[in-house]
Amino acid sequence: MTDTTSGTDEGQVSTSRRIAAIVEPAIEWLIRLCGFSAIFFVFGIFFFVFSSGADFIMNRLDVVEFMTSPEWYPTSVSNKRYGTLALVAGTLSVTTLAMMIAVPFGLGTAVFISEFCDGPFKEALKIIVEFLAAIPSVVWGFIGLAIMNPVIIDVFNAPIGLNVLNGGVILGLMSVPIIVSIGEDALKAVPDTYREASLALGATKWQTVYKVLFPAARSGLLAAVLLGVGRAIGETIAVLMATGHAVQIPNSPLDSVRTLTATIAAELGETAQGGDHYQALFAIGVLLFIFTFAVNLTADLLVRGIKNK
Amino acid sequence: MSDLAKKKIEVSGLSVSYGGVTALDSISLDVYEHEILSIIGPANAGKTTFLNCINRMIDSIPDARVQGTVKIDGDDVRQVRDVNALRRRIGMVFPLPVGLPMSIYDNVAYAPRMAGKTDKTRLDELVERCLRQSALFDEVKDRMGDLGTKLSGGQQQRLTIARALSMEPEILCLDEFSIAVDPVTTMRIEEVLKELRKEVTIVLVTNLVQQAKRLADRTALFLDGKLIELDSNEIIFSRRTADQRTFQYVQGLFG
Repeated sequence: MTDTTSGTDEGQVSTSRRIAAIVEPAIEWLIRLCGFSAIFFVFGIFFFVFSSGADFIMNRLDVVEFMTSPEWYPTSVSNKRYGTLALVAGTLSVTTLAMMIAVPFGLGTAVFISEFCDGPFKEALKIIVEFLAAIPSVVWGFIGLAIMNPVIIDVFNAPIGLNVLNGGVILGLMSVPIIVSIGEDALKAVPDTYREASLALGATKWQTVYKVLFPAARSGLLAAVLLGVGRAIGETIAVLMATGHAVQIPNSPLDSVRTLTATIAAELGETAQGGDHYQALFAIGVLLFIFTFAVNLTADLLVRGIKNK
Repeated sequence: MSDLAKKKIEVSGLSVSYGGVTALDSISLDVYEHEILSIIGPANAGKTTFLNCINRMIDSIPDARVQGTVKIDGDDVRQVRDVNALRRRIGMVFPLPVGLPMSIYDNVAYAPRMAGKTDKTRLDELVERCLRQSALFDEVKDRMGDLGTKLSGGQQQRLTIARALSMEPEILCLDEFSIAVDPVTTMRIEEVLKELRKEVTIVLVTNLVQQAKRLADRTALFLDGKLIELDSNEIIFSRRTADQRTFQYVQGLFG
C-alpha cells in the first residue's frame, strides 16, 4: 500500500478486519469441533461395544478361560464354553500369512510404480491398483470360495480348500492396494534431490531405493504396512467365506480356522439380544478393539521413535 | 592456460533441448586438467544442464534430447557402459545442500560402500580425510553418528562436498554451491577448492561473478544456452573482453 492511503481505503480495511475477527474464530471452533468429534466417536463406539457386553464381562465371564481356552461352545446346552484362543489363533494365522504375501508384494509394487516406471504405463498401473482396492470384500470371498478352493484342493491334495492358506492369500491380495497406494505416496514424498544426490554419487537405482529412499520414507512405509495389517485383522466377510469356519488352532496352513470377526458376523444374528452368547460376542468385539488399538499404538510409537532418532 | 596442459573434458557441439525447448545450443569448450573453470550467466542460461551432461544425470530427465559429444580423457561419456562408474569419477555438488537421511559418517561413506569398499579402517580414514578436506571435521568429529540432515545448511553443504570427494573423483562439479551458505562458510569452502585444485579438475557454476573472479583460472559466460565467451580471468574481468555482453555482465550492467 502506498502512503497516499485515502480514508475510504482505511474504512474498507477495518471492515474486512472486523469480519475476519468474527469469521476466523468461528472457523477455528468448527475445525476444533471436527477434531474433537473423532475422539468422541472412537470413545463412543468403544463405550457402546463394551456396555453391550458389560453385564456378562463383569459378572459371568471367566477371563482366564476367555483368553486361554480354545473351546468356543456358546450354544452348548450342558457345557457352555467361551474360550477365544482358537479364534485368536485363526485371526493371527490368517493375518500373518496375509502380511507375508502383502508386504513384499505391496512394497515391491509401490517401489516399481514410484521409481521404475513413468508415463502412461505408470498412470495405468496406479489406476488398476486403485481398482483392486474397490473390489467389494464379498467378491474376494467369492473368489476364495469358488476359485481358490478347488485350486488348493488340486495343488496341495488337501481335503478342503477353505483354510488358512486360502484366507491368507485372499486377505493378502486385499491388503496389497492399501500398502501400494500409501507406500507410493510415502516414496513420492521423498525429495528428488535425494535421488539425484545418490545417483550422482554413482549409486545404482536399486541401491538408491534401499539405502536412501527406504530410510527416508520409512515412517510412511511403516504406516502403509500397519494399515494393511489393520485391514487384514478387521476384514470379515471374505475370511468368513474363505477360511472354512472351523474353530480350531491350526497346525498347518491347510487347516480350516475361524477368525474373531467371522465369529461375530456369523453368530450375532442367531443370538438372543442381551443373552450371554450375545454379550460374549461383544466381549470378542472388545478384544478386537484392543488388538487394533495395540497395532495402531505400536505404529505410532515406532514412527515417533524413528522421527526422534 | 597453455596449450601444453592436458585436456580433461572436451565438449563439442553440445546441444540439449527439453521437449523442443532449447537449453544448450552447440556448446564447444575444453576444460584442462587441474584448472578451475567457472561458468557464469543468468538464470536459464543452461549452466546446470551443462553439468548434467558431464555426469549423464541428464539421462534421468525424460524429455531431454542431447546432441554433440562430451569426452572425458578422450572417451565419449555417452558411449560409457557403466554410468555408475562414470559418476563415481565425477563429484557433484548441488545448489541446495542434500544431507542424505543417514548419519554424518554414513553420508560420506555412502558412495564407497555402494561401490563395494567396506573395509572399516580404510573407510574411517577416508571419511576423516574427506571431512577435513571440506573443513567440516572439527565441527562434527564428536557426533559422527548424528543424522546428516540435522546439520545446519552451511555444514550440510560442506558434508555434501565431503561426500562428493569420497570417491576421490577426477572432476568436481559445483552448481552454485554457495546459495544456501553464509559468507564465512563460503570463504572456507573457496579455500578448500583452491587446495583441491592440485588433485582434481573443477567446474564451478556460480551466480556470483566475484566468486568466479576469486577462484577460477578461466571463466565462461553462458547466455540463453549459448557460450558467449570463454577466456582467462585476466581477459574476462577486464575491459578487453571479446564480446561486449561479457563486459556488461561482469560489470553488472546487464539487461
